[in-house]
Amino acid sequence: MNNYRYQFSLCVVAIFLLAAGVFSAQAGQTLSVRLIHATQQQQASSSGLSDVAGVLQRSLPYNHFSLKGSTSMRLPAGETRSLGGYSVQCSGAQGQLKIQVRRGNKALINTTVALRDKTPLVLGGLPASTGKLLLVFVAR
Amino acid sequence: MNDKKKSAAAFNALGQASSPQSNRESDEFWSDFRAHARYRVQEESLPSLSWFPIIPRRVLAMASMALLLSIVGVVSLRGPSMDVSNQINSLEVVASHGGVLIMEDESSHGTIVWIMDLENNDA
Repeated sequence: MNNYRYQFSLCVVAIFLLAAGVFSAQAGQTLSVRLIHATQQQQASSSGLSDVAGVLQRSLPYNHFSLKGSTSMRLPAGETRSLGGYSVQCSGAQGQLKIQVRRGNKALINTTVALRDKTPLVLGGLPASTGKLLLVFVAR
Repeated sequence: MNDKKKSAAAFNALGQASSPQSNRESDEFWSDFRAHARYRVQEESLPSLSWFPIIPRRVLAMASMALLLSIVGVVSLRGPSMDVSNQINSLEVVASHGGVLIMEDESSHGTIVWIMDLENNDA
């Protein structure tokens, strides 16, 4: 009887580890954060932004997107990073990610989101001398 | 002619004398053969499943149930990330602004939160 219990316990542990491994391999491990400058110019461009260029060009009234800064952090997050004068604080897991965007000492945006793998979240409309600045978050 | 009669008589005598014993040997031989053949067939038919009889059916059934529960548990823990698009659970724009527009791109399911006329600190 004890032998059966031992075998059963081994089976349960092995199966749970297998299932957890399969699902965790699919879940996002890293959060990338990019600061993008969006402007309207004669020539459209989005070099180095191939993964998000489509969503930006389709949805926003700008045709020129340039990368001003980028960073990445592991998920679940608990870090603050600076990007072009903005401070981005991320905390929590991918399914309950808290994001705070600050400029100097002043908080601008507080949000809590559930991110899907490889699906971008854009926080846009940040002021710039020309055009606008966007923060793009992608969990991978 | 005499030789033929002698040899036939000798053959019959030999046959009568050895027949019961040879039949017994034959029976023993074939019964042994069948027993070995049966044994070998069993060995060859389940070469890769030699571990199988070790795990009782009850344990296998419970392990299968545990597998189902594990999958359900892991899927439910993942929750929102299994959805098609991102979810915004809360949003607060602290700085002065004109309005907020939330859009979803149909093809990529990307989410855009656009804050209009956000106050410029530097100004």
